[in-house]
Amino acid sequence: MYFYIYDSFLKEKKYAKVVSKIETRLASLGIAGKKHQLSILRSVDEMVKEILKKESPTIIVIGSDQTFCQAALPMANTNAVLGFIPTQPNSLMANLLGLPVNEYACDVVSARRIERINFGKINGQRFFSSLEFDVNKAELIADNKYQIISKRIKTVKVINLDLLQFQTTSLETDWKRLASNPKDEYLEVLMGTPGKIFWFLKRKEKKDSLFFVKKLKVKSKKSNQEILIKVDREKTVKTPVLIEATKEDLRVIVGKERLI
Amino acid sequence: MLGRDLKLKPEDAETIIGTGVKVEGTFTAFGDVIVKGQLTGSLSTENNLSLRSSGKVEANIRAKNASIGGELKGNLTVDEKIELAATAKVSGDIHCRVLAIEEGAVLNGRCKVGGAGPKDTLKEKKKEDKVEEK
Repeated sequence: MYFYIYDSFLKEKKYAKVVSKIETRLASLGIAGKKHQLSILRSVDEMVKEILKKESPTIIVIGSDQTFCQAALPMANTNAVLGFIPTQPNSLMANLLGLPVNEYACDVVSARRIERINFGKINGQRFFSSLEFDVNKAELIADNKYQIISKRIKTVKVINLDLLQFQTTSLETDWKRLASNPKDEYLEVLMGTPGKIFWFLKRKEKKDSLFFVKKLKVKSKKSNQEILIKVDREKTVKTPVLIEATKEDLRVIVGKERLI
Repeated sequence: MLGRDLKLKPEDAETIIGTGVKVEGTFTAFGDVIVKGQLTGSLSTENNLSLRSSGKVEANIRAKNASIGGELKGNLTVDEKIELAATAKVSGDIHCRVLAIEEGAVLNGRCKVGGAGPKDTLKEKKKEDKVEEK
């Protein structure tokens, strides 16, 4: 059975037309299902856990990347399938999973091409996409075997499912590949300096190093300092942390044009 | 389509130790390794190693093939071929099946080139050890 989780912003009037088009397309494809609307009072986590009580559900998130990533977390190692209908034109997840935007994604959902995607963990808590932090004050130990010491690098991005670049939108072809492999039980550690725009001056991002690790310990060089790690572009976790690749996975509906 | 072609398994992944990074310890990889920065300790990969002109390595290296253009202090054991570029500075022993040295390369150490190569030599040693045990 299909369960649709509508992002909270879709309640706004300006999205009425988009929602209506999606619903019409879903109905014509014969995959209409139960609608769940997110609000301040109902979190994605609660809602997904409630749906998971039903037998092998297909949960489709309609809305933003953040909500999609949040919905994925409680679904690890279940029989459920997760799908996504992105409504934002610059959706990173849509790009990675090969999904068109708005009602056009309904056809991909209907085709049910499924891939298994692993999770990463930070201090025992799952994450789906990537982590990002400032490396200047950090000490990194990979797989308990070697230390990575940064000399001129600003940022580290630990990737489970994301582009191998700091920017979320444009794709550059100078790197050997574009996206991480979230099915290999490894995490990609990308080190470099993200691009920036100061008024009308633009600094291009610089990718310096790429490592493949199963475990990464991150702590501050000074014991009285803490480093903030951004998890899935949303919440933050403070150091010291242990970041791990896991075998826990999730079945996700993907499109033909996927990058993973 | 582009992304699908670039899909990579960890075995053929390309680890890059960039110029802004120094690695210390036992570094083991499955895929190709490119070193542009610094590394101390030991390095082993089941695939190819490329030490670029900006790279400085103080480690014993084990790889399938190696192309050296930077500075290496340590022994280099390679199953197949070693290429020393004109910019290479190697201080250590070399063991491989095929060795190619470009004019200008510096090599201070003993060379054991040709024959079965280190991979097969190791296998033979293991076999001999087993026979002795029996």
